[in-house]
Amino acid sequence: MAKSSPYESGELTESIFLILLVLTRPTYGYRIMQQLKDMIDDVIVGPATMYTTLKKMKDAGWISEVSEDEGRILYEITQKGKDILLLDYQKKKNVVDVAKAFLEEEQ
Amino acid sequence: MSKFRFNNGVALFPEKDCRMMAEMSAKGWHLASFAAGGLLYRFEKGNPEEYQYVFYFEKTTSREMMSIFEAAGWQLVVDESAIQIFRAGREASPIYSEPETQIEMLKKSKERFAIMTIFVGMLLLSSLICAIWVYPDSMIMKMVLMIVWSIFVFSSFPLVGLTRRIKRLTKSGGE
Repeated sequence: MAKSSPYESGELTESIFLILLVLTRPTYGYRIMQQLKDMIDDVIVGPATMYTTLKKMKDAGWISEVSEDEGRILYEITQKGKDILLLDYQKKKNVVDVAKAFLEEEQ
Repeated sequence: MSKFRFNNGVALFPEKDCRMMAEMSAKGWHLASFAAGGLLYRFEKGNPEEYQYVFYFEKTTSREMMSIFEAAGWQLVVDESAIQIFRAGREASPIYSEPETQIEMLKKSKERFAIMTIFVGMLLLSSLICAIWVYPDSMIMKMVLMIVWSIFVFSSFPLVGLTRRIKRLTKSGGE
């Protein structure tokens, strides 16, 4: 019935992709949303989606907790997470490359 | 001074209750807590504000969770019996940006109601057997049956409501 979860298939949703990207630099959970907004204007990840996604990514071993400050957690991407991110990046890039060549041929 | 409003059933009609809370806030009455074991909401007098409210169902809250919600403009107002109610100004964006994460949350709370319904269902069955065959003349037994029956309704209604919401969300890919 349902599609398998991104944590099993490695098919990243936009939110997961961008959160992993941000976490290539250690970042506090509550700061990730602002960081994303600074990078791309119209990307909004709601707090409930952010909280669940962080928990799931931690369970999947894609990110880890570096430290804690008054209960707020500093996260960082793991090697496994980096591999997944790069794989997905390459996939996305291939699609864009093909699209680019196709559109340029048109003109 | 406090004002009270009925709980319409957190799991069945959450949007209806959230709209009611927003209307109360616009009139200067802000949600403060549950009352009467969750049957009522209690409101306190303040300045009229344009607030929006949402429900969240997490077993335990953490400082980490709150800091993420607060960074997005959502303040925790009520946190009782694994139900959280958050409040934010009109400009705050919705707490779910991906329907999958919302469906997951609903599924988790559905599981909780399912376990409760099965447990109370078994209790109902055994008290029914007791009331009919073991103590057919006992008034107390009949009262126990009535109480167990109402708890059963209380837990199975949300179960039906949640199942329908999950179906609707899965079909439409979001609300």
